Amino acid sequence: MARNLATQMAPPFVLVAHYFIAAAIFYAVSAFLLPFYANEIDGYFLSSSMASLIHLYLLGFVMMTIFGAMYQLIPVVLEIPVFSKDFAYVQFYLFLGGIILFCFGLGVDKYMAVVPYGAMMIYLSMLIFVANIFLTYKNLERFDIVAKYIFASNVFLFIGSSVGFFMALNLLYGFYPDLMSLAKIHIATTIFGYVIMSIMGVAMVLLPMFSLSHGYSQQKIKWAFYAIITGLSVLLVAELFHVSELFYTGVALSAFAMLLAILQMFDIFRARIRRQNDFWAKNMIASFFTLLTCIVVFFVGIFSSEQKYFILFGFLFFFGFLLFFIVGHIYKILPFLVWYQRFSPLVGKMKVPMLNQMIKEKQADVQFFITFVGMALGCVGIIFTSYLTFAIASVIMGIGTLLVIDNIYFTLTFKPKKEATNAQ
Amino acid sequence: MSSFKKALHVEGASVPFFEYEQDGMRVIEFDSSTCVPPEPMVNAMLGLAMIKDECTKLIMINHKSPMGLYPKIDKNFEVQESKLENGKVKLEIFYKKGLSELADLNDASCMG
Repeated sequence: MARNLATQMAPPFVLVAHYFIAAAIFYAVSAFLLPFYANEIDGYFLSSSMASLIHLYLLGFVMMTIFGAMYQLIPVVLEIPVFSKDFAYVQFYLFLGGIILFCFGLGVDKYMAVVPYGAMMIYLSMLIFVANIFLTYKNLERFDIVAKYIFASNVFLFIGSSVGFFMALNLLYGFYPDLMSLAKIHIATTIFGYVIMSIMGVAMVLLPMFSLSHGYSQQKIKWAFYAIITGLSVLLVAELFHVSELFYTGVALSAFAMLLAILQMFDIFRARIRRQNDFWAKNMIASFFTLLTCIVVFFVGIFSSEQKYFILFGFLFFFGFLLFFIVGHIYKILPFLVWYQRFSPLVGKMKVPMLNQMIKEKQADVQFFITFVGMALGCVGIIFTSYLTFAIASVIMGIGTLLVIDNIYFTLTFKPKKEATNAQ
Repeated sequence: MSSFKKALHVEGASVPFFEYEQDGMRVIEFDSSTCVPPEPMVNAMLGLAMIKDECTKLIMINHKSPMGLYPKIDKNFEVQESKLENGKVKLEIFYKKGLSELADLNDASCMG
């Protein structure tokens, strides 16, 4: 049995910290801006101001976290080192600059001209990431289901970011009239092809690791892989050739894949040894429950053709499912990285802190509750088109964000109490 | 023949350690099967530091095979792994003359 030592292949902490700290800042900025979007809850789902906020959140918080986590997880999951760490630094600074330019241009009309420049930087950064992943795969020995998910998700990221760059150029120069069609392909490939598939793949590593589960079947996640690949491919072909019946077949297959993934996560949870429902478990349960609700809301939107259901879907997906999943894992992964960097060399020499001491657990619990209440109230605001309710809900969620940021700061600057560090 | 298990105080450990005599050997035992990384590794490093002769062995119960531990110890200790009926894994770790003393037990890093 090959017993590779993942730590020898892991990237330096400072690299992953770049991504996680930037993600936390973008999360805070997005949360601060959210109440100002209250009067858009009955607006157009694809407006440029909405696109500005969504990209700030999705690129700045969600993708930034995923990229950082991937650099950390790939050596663990695939048992090979990432092809180039230097690529990862270059990618980070291009991505950071690109997001700022791109979202600023989309959000402030008179600076719309900077959008293609921001988009170009983002596109280049994503090409570097995708190339880095594909070059890493050259040395892959075991092509298991997680490796398949990560590989396929990066193929979709390449397609989705290429279409996104094309859309940004088109926004200014207007050479392609069917913007809606491009938007559908862009959303399907980036959000469902990349974000969802990455989450489905890494969840198969993270959930068993943090819940201590084993002995469950992986059949559902394997079927889900083929269902989502087929679904998204059918959806793309349908959109390119304007075959609406096929488009809905693709949507249904993709939704079916997500249902299978949710069932797989349920199987993992049922097999867990670690039975206590800590803040991580609560975030995971809320995350997959919200994803299930999203699927229902999406189909209600399709059948009713009411715009508010798509807004509700987007809100639940971004500020519910993704938020709970990412925040729950930040609480687990960040203390681990800081511990490994700062305390692992001290084991045996002095009493070292445990991971649960490196997070304010009660605060994490309170934050979960506040965020959940804020999200639920936000849904009420959207359903009844109440700007005030939505604004109050987003302020409540903002309080939750501050608690997350404070906990991240606490972990990054963690100093053990004196009695815990007395030498033996 | 084995003696009663006695609690053993191990500074820095996050789970209880026990010691007892079995067939003329001193056995040190801990159960990290409900711990997430890096706790199994931390406790293993503390336990390994107590294997100082051929008459002492360490027993570690974990929820799965500790893949991150093997590359650190398999040159310096003899390790026997067996699966328990409840699905957990039992590691019996023995002293290797001339090699166990050379083990670097300060690096408790692991990645799951």
